[in-house]
Amino acid sequence: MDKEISANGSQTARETVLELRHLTRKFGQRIAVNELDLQVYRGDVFGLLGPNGSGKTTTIRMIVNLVRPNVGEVLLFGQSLQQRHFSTSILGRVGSLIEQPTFYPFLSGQDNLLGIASFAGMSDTQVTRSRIDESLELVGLADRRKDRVQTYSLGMKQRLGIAAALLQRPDLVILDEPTNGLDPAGVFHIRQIIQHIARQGITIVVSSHLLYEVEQMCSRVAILEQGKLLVQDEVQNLLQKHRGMTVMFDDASVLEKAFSAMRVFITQQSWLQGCQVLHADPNDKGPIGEYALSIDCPSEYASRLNRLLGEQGIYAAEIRRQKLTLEDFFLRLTAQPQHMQPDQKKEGAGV
Amino acid sequence: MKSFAIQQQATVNADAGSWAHFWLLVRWHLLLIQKRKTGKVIPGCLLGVVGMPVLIIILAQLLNPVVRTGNHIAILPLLMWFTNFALFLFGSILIATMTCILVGSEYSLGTFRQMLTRGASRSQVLFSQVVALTLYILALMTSIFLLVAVLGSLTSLYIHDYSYLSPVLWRNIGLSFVTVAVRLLLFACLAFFLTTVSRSTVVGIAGAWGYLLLESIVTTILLGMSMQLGRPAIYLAAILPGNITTTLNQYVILMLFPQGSGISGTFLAGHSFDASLNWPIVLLIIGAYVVFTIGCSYVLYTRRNLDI
Repeated sequence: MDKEISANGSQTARETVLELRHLTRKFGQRIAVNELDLQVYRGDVFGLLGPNGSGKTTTIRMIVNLVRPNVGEVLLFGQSLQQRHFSTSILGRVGSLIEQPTFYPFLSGQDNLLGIASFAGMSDTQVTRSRIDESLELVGLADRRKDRVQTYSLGMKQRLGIAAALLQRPDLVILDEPTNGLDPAGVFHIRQIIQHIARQGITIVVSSHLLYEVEQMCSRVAILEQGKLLVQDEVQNLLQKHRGMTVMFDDASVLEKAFSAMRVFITQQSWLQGCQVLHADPNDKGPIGEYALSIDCPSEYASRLNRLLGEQGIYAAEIRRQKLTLEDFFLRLTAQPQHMQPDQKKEGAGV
Repeated sequence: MKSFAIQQQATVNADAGSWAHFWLLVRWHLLLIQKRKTGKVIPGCLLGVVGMPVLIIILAQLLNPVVRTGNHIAILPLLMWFTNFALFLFGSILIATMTCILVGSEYSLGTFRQMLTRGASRSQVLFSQVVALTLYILALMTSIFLLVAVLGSLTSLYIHDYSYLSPVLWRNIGLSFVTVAVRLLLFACLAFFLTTVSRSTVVGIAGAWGYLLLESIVTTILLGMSMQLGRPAIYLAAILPGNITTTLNQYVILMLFPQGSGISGTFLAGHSFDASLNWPIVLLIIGAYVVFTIGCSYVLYTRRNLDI
């Protein structure tokens, strides 16, 4: 059990369903996962985010024992997968959909689930059959249960994959890119299913590129890059901590002054410690002729910052408080081209 | 969305990881073999290669019974010899192909992930495949042998050839069944090993077929070199998987056709390198091959990362 401080200050104990300790996996010289530490608590809807090649799938493969770590360990329900006497039957408490849903195309959806029930040690009984029916009903495939999987669309296969993951009534469901390749309606449907499962109290780990979906669904997220954990926190905490603001100027030369002044403020003013300038490009003129300076700092500082700039003779045309989305946060953290890094800026445009 | 209540507490099946779980996996693999096209095509081909000569012989006997003409050849041993020969020659290729398709498709379809992430251990999955294949091969062979035995007995009865009443003949038929089964199982193990190593159906099939070709070339070369190298070259050729099962089969052929003449004599004439190997040694070597191929497959399957 791990103790954490809740919003009202009281300590609450939450059961750790999944824990990764210093998990490392190399493929040749390439480090796919690098000393990864994660905790997933019971009831979490946990989002695993990261750009392509960040090690999400390798991490998930290590969790379900398909790939073994070079260093570190995976603890499922408190049991280490790396211990010699580890029983694979603990995986019976985990339902997973790894990458593309994989089924026997010549069998019907129902027969495929019967096979998966066999893999999980469930004999072909009335109970198993009714569970299959329930799972198919949940994902909206009840009327196609007798059709061969080769006739299913990608969305239907994904839904069948989720039905398979739920078959043994797992404590933990792991979904690797469940919305991959789906149209918006398909994505919406999968999101509804995941939210429905989460309401049943089942712990879910979901990796996805669709950040809006993750923001809608997940209570906690971890962001990986090049196999390393960048951040792990509750979604709301992350977004509140990293809200920012955009200061608009009428002139490119004022923007340059403001950028230089901001850099000085950040070093001089203690209350601005930890803040950073994210975007300031004098060549980037907005649609109504404005020049924007994006700052990563609490938006409550807006008026104080405005006063500081005014004292330097720098007058903003407008200050906007930004409502940060998970996508903004993710892109900032993983340094995608949408936002230029301040250091690059210094060397590049010379602002 | 329709209402669906998932129990909060997972219900891990009591069978997970047990023998009951293992048999569930075996049953599933057997069902898969049945449902696949391969599971229909391969028995069809085997029935074809066995059934055609058998039907021709039966038809010929019915139209012009050799018993009545005085040129006596016991019909049932003859049919059994053809069955033995056809299964021995084509069966090994077809069974190896089927094994590669069954094992390799788990990788190509990605269904191995479903198997290994539900609570079954890797060894359970691997051995359940081996047991299912063994049971399938034995069931297939039993069906073919029974079919030929029934047809042969009925034809014998019709043409007043009572050789089928001999208990020795039935013992020999049983032994013939065993030797063919041993060969088919050995080639299934070889194909299983090659597919497990390569994780590919195509490479597995190419490897198994290539091995059969390679073995005949190596045998020819070794026997050719026996003049210079002496007995070691002959022994080396004799213990190759295909040849060693041929050796075992020869004992049975000789029992079915003790006179060693006619077609059986022709069949035996080309395989004379086994003179010094008695059957316990032969069985021991075959056993070693099975242990080696399945053992290596086990080590690879349980220790390698499945990151495909």
